[in-house]
Amino acid sequence: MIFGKKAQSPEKAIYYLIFGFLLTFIFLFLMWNIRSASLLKLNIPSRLQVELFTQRFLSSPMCFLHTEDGIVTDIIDWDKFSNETLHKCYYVADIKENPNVKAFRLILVLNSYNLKKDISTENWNENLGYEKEQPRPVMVFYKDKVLVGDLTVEVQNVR
Amino acid sequence: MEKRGLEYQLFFLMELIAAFLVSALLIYVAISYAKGSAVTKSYIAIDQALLIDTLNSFKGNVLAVYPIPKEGYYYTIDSNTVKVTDISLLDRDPTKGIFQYVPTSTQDLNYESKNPEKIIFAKSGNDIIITNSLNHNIKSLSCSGTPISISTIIIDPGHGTSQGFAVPDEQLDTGFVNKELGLAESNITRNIAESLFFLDDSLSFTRNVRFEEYKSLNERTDAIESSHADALISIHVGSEDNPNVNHVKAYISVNSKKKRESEQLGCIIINELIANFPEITGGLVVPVNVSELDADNPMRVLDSKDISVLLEIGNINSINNNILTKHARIAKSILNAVKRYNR
Repeated sequence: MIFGKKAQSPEKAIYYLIFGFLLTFIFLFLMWNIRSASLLKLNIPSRLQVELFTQRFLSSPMCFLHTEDGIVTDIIDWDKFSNETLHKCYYVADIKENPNVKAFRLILVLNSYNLKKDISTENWNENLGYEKEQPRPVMVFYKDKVLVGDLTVEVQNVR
Repeated sequence: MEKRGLEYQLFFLMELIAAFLVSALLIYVAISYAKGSAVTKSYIAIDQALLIDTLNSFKGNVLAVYPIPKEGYYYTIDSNTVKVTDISLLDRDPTKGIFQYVPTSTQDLNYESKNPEKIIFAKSGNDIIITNSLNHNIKSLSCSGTPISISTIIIDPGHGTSQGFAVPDEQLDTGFVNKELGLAESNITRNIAESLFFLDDSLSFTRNVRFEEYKSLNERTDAIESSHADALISIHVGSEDNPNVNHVKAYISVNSKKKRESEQLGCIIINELIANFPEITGGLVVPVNVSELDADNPMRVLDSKDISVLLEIGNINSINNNILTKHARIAKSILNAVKRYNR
């Protein structure tokens, strides 16, 4: 009955409304500031994560490396270089919508055979812009031969 | 008039409580930043998330000890997130540190701890281990072979040859092996096979698992070839001069049509043994060209089935203090590995 007809004059009701509005505004302002401050603190070198994940694509046995008689080599296996493998070795199914998680597209080119494959992580969005890394030479195992190819890494959500 | 007075008092009380909550929040956040606690929590969360991402960038096994720089925090690592909060506030902490890591599809990390002195991050094979004290053996292999479903298995409890530990005692004609080490190996592999027999009655065997009996390599090979099993697991005991070495090796045939499937089976068995025996000092999948081996080499059995693995477990020279006395646990590990392989 705080806003009951008998108990309140219209001026007081307006006063309470303004007070409530101000209180909510101060609370939201504070929460927003805390969040902004937290985001500022998370200022890590932007390329560090990109380099770490690129290393994963090039060095992790879970990704594309060719295995010869049980020994994991440093050579990318052309057949393993697929979206399916990439989704296993960079598993973002549960955090696809998180804009802080980097999205990658990898392009592998075998010039000697005029072949090209491009694959992307599950959170890659074709409608968004991206940054392109310099192509890097990589060894590629293709049809029982070891060839030199070019791997280009494209990244979204770089901060 | 009294009713109106009470309403004002109540409203004033509500105002007071709301103002107090906002002020408390403001003061807490201000103190948290002034002490550097909010920043510390965020940086710990970033550090640990990046550490997990770094471990996933390594080809081999890695052990990293993360010393905790400040007391009073609660750590949770799961659902792709590292979270650091004050112990007293937990999830209500308005200045908690949060950062995301990206796992692989096989990793389901789950860690929480109040005020640990240190956190150990390890990569073993394809797994990431996060713990306060490392009880795991982190020498696992990265298995990258091809799994295939196997429903029936034949077990070969090996016992060496005249070139190895054991020879049949022809003079006594008992059928028992007569060299000390040979008998020891035969006894160990038979005991493991006996444990397997009790754990899974669908398994078949190349020799009697209840008592010692010598069967020549040819007899065992014939038994394997005539069986309808999908895969062969031959069990042997390793031999190293250094009694402190307790390796597990899985030999596979390079000539097999299903080399990748054998490689995967061997790798998973090694990892399961390593996970269950901290004493194991290392594991290795060894491809061998069976056709180049002597006719009486025990590895000849590898060519009897497409999917075949010859295990060399532990070290016969450290028999009193190594894993070879734990037959049932070895058997369980092998069966668990087969289950994982079929998954």
